[in-house]
Amino acid sequence: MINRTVVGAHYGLKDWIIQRATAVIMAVYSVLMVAVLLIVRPATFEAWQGVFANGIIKFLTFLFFVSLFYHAWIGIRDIWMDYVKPTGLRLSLHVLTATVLVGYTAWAAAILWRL
Amino acid sequence: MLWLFSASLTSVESFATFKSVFATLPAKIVMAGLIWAFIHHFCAGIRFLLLDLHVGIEKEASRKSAAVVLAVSIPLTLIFWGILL
Repeated sequence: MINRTVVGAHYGLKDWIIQRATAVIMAVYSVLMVAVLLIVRPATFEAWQGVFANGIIKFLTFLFFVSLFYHAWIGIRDIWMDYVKPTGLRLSLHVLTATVLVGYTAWAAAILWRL
Repeated sequence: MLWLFSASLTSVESFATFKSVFATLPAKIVMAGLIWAFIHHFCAGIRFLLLDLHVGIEKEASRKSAAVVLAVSIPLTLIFWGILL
């Protein structure tokens, strides 16, 4: 256990880094979008849709959603790992959580690329 | 939330639905709660990132920053609530 390496199997460091990377992505996006919305001030449907139809905003918004759902995956998975001890139940909750989050990701993509 | 986001972007009619949902008092209260949850998580997250960098890792400083998170996130929530709703 002493000779742990970064590239070894599942020590949790990867998750720890991803949790922080996705957090930074979401934080930057949030500040950026507040600024964009305060500047553009989209009041009508056309203006609101126009903001998200913009290629860069669309990409960044999708990146935000992917970060959000990956961030949520790590957070919720850790809750199951900490508090749900029966293996079968824990596995079911993991599968359910992952399924829902993958579904949300596809849904977000569908919403954005319909524009 | 994704459903609301979708409604707001799909068509003029669904945008009107989205707006009418937001105009109700229960929706405004739920949104206030969600905005607070988001902003608190945002501020606390920045605190944890700083702690990861060993900024303010001492007991006294970390106690103070925890209070700052609360003191900043609640007024910020009220400001956003005022702007949005």
